[in-house]
Amino acid sequence: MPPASRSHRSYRADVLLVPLEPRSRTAVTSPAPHDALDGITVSGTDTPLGGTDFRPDVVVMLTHDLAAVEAGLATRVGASARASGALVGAIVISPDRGWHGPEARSAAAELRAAADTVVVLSGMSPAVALLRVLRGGPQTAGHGTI
Amino acid sequence: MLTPEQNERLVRTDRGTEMGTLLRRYWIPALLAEEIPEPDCPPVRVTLMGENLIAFRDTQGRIGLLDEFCSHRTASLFFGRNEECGLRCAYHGWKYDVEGNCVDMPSEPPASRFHEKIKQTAYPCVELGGVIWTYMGPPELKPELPELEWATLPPENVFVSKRLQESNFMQAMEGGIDSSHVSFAHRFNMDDDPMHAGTPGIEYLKADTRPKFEVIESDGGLLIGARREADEENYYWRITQWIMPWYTIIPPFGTHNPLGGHAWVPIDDETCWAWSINYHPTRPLREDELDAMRRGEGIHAKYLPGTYRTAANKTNDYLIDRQAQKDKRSFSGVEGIAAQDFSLQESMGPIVDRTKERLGTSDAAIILARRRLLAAAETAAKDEPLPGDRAEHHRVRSASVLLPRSVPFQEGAKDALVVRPGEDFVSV
Repeated sequence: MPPASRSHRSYRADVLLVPLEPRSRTAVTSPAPHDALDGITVSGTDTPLGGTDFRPDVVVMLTHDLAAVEAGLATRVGASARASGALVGAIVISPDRGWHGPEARSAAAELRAAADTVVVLSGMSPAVALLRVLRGGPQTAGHGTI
Repeated sequence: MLTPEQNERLVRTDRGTEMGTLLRRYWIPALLAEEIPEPDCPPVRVTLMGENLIAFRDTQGRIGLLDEFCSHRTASLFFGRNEECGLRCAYHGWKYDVEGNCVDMPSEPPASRFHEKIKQTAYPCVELGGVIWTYMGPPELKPELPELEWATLPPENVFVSKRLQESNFMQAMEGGIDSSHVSFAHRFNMDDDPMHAGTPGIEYLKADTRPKFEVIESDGGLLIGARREADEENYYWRITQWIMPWYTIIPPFGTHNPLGGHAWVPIDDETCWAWSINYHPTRPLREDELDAMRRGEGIHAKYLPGTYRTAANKTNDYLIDRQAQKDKRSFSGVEGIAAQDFSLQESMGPIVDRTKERLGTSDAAIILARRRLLAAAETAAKDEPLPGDRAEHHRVRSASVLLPRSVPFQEGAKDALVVRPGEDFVSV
């Protein structure tokens, strides 16, 4: 039996959040953001998309430390997400809005090529708000929802 | 999407509302200087954020912006006499100066000092860039004067127009930061804007209709980069500045064409003034450019004679031409870049119901702009400094540049994104 249709008002997208390095993994699993990310699947970085029947509507890569992102990871995640028909976004948390050093620059270039939209934010709070909008569905106040 | 409560917080701007408190902390483009062109000219009605006001230029050229209704019997000062350094109510002759002091009360005995107790609400004004700006917030929190580049240039370098938009200011402004609509709403009219003429940029824009976006929080708002394929080594970047609370600077086409920008200022919750500005930092605008702007081309609009209401408006379905739509002369069938924008923005209703929308990754700038405004509203409630309230936040430029694929735009275009007085902007 096909799933019941969902109106645009109630449509809640399946969002997969992919922390790209350890600092981001810690950030999304700490209590405050984790609670706010209700309904958003947080992936491990080793098998970001594969191995399950989960086919997200939106895949968002997250990094707090571009220099620590493994070379090729963003490309693999992006390609996998695209192959499954997902929208692909990337969030870079960078309080000084820049990235420094060859590793960081290289990761940024990879991220740019892999994602449809890259967002550079000063902290996790606006990132949570962005993720919750991409998730959609009935919204509740709080948790920086916009 | 928003909750109903969040939508209300975002769109309501009357005094006492959260957004109204925030917006009153900034200098506000109130009216065109040409509306009160000379001393003792007729006063004009001005409505801002639900407040009915009256603007006048007194005998000495000073600008007054007062509560429209006389403190005595609340007759409209629109019918008043602008004479001898004050605006006199036509009903009983009470007269106010530009600071709202009641300087004459001929209906009371000459020895009475009652007039000294009367103070008409008055907001400070300043004239910059052909615009009269006002500040409607707490006097002790008045920010530095606006230093948007166009407001600091010689008058001959700037053209400013305004038009009535029949929608809430927020959905109009969201249109200004929504770069992805350009490839659709304006698809067949990219060449129509005289400010696009003769530039490689327009060719890049037409060749790649699927831009990718990068959005970066800036000190005063957002930097919105739209990236298109240029050649094997380079991307073509168009970088829009959104400056809080309501300004945009549009990425230019070539350095020989003027820059453009907008501001969206609430009249009330269901209408706003859409301000459109063209300017060139290093030369006066040419007569042919000014003629095009006066005709309502480019980012400006054609008016109904004698008004700031557009000729194409919701009462006539914006003069939609279905044959032009069919013939691919206009994607939406509406003529003119500006009318294409406001017809769609107004079609959402006077206040868009954001609980019904479904945003995707290309809407990141809109999502973040809302978030910044709501966060700033909380800051304003604590009387703290705000993003976009400092002159340094205004001294920025948009740019359109070719950059190597590995170079982040905020780095590669860093120098191009700040005002360098007397120097050309950066654009291809």
